[in-house]
Amino acid sequence: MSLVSGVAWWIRNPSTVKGHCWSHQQHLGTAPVRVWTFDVSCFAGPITSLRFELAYTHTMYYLAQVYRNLGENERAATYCHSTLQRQLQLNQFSPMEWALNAATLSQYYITKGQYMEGRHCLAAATVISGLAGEVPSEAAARESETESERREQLQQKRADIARCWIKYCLNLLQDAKKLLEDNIGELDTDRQDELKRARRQEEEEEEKGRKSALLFGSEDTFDSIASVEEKVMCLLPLGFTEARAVFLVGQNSVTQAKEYFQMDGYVTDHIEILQDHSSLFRALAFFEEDLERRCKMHKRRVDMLEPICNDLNSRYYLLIRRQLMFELAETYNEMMDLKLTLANRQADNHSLDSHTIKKFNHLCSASAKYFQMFLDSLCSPEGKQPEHLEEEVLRPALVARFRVARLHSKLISSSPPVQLENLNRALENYKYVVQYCEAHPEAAAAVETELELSTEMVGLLPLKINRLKSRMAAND
Amino acid sequence: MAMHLPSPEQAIINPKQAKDNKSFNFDYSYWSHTTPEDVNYASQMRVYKDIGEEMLLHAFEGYNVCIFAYGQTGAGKSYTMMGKQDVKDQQGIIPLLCEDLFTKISDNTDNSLSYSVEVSYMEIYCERVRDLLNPKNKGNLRVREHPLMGPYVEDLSKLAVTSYNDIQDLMDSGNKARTVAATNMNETSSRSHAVFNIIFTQKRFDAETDNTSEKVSKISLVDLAGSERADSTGAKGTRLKEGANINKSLTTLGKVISALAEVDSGQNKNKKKKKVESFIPYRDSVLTWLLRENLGGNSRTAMVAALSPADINYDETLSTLRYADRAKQIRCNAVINEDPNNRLVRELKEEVSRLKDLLYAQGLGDIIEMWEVSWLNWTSLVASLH
Repeated sequence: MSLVSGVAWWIRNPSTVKGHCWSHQQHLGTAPVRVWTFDVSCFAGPITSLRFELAYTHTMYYLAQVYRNLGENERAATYCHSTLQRQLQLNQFSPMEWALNAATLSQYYITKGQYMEGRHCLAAATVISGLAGEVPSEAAARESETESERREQLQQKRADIARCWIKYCLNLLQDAKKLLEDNIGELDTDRQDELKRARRQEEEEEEKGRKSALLFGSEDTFDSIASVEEKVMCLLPLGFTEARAVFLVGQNSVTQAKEYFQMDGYVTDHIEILQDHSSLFRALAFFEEDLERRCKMHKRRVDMLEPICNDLNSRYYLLIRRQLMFELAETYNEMMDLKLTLANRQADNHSLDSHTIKKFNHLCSASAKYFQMFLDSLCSPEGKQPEHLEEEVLRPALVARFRVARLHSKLISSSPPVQLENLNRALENYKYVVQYCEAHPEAAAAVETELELSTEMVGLLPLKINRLKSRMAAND
Repeated sequence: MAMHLPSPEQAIINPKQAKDNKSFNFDYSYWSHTTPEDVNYASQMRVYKDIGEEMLLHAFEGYNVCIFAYGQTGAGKSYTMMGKQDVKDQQGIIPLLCEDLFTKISDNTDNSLSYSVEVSYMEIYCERVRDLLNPKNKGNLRVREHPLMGPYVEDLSKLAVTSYNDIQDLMDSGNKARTVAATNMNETSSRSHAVFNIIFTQKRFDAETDNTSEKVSKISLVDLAGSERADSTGAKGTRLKEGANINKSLTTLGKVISALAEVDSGQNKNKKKKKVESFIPYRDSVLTWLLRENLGGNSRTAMVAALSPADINYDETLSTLRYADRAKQIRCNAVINEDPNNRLVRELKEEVSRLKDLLYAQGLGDIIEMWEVSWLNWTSLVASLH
């Protein structure tokens, strides 16, 4: 691969160079770089000095590319950041383009967990995008193609920035969850207390960090940017109140983004936004202590995604539908578990009333239904099961089988024939997992735990089935 | 001569240094810049039989199919895809496929099957879509997505055809419309993508159930714009040279930043960690967007890379081969994000140990029962002896 082998400065009239200038050789990787440093104040005339300021900005930009090509992403990001900063300072920028670049840079910071920097980029993006002016009205757009395009562009780019904000909030909540969860995914209250104590220290460091960070803006915009930043935290939320505040900022951004990315016209984008909204709910549910309220949050997710899943054309949106089916299946499963926990808390022993059983079974079947739908979507246009599962669907397909099996064995029924049917379905699906992995040994690595458990169940379920059969025979 | 094809593998020799060979593997490779007299020559029909025929079969099965032609201007993309209509044996994949399609349709003797074929032909130039079957529509056609209709181009003509001749006529007028576009004739056709779509519907009537089932497949045949790089003055093949113009605008800053954000979100492939999600606000090109469905899911795609054997085109040829090589690895993006299932695994492990206890208990119970029965038998035997 050919890298940019040097950053070359080109001065049109070397004879006009007065004052000090240095040049030195630096090595970036294996390529030598000649770097010229100028004391710009020596130059006569504002135009010349502006040209050099611009040239300096370009150097930052070229360095960003060089570091990116060398794989030194952190350095590259810093130079991108500096380039953006200088553009603002020199007032050499187009607002929407600058805002989008800042919003994109925020995504880099977010992937690194640097939420303070990410928030700053996003806040700046929001403020600067406002400088691009008013969106042309619908009437104006109808009259002129330029106005129509401008309207499109502005609306779309502002919606894009909203989507970047959604990711900020989502990642912040998810990272907090990762920090606070125990080994079965519940909130670990001891760790929570520990982190709350450590928080005070963090807050001091945040202040110090802000002062030393590269801040965007000029005198007019510093304050506006700061006031946008104040609306959302950049430290990991440690409890429900903080989490909810972050969630609400995220939800607000969802509403903004959906205004432009409507279903009719932007199916894929609209659904991605809904999926993010669902993930926001899921992340918030983690912090909610009241199980009833937690269940309601999951219900919101189902209500949002279920109609979409069923209304989409299954040919054109196959992949998206698969994602939705899988998510719905897991959400229903989550609700089922919550209902059971709630019911067991109320009744001290194991007996559940018929209403609860009905509700439980409904959730259980719904979950199984969506896992099954996912499996059916893997079939050929003629309805044949695939002999070989592609890499991208291998684990999800085997996990879906495993989950369907488990769900069938959890269904509650007082009728023995129904119980038998459920157990047989469960056994059938556990068997599939075992047999597929036998026929395709390389698949075993993707589903180690599930395979282990399926093998056990294939050995043990027949026992349960036989006991049931003999009881049924004895009662006849 | 910069190129050499040993067989399905393709090797390219650096014209400057014979030792610096680069080798690439593909499913098929063809040598067509000579004439039919050459024993190694590959004809248009041969290319169709290898690639087009299989694609048509997939379409009959109900899959969407897509054939792309990629490469430098003049390397043979349009020749491969469209070919020469009026010259014998030089018709390309598109006309041969269409002919074959109608032959299969007319060969059908099953009365319960019926077919319909619609075509559309569009040109994408500088992200603007033009309807080649209705060139009078000067407007830039918008690309949209509909929940039921899928991705589509607003107001694009879809014309029903009942014979191969119909298609031929439409192709001809579409091709003419392509070249009569902008001021620089060569520029437009080499810088634009041409997409010929066939929407093929098969209906089967089931007399028993009185139901009609339908299979719809879309066949997309794409002649991509010339892959060679051009700088702003229109000269081809130049690259960023020394003495770069420092007044160039920072147009690619966005690309550099996007690349940073993308690379890092992809690196979290550790199974235990959840993939960090980010949103990169850049728009897919119109072409990628329209053919998104062909890049994954129930779809079959073939890519034809057109190469020039000439020394002077070595760089472009290498670039095309590398692109084609990377294209083999394109996978769909829609990953299934799975919730961690630790709690479920723990529950199931508990159930497994419960069942094992049951087995043990039952095993013991069986032995006791057996023992009791044999004890009873023994005592009654003894009693009967007295």
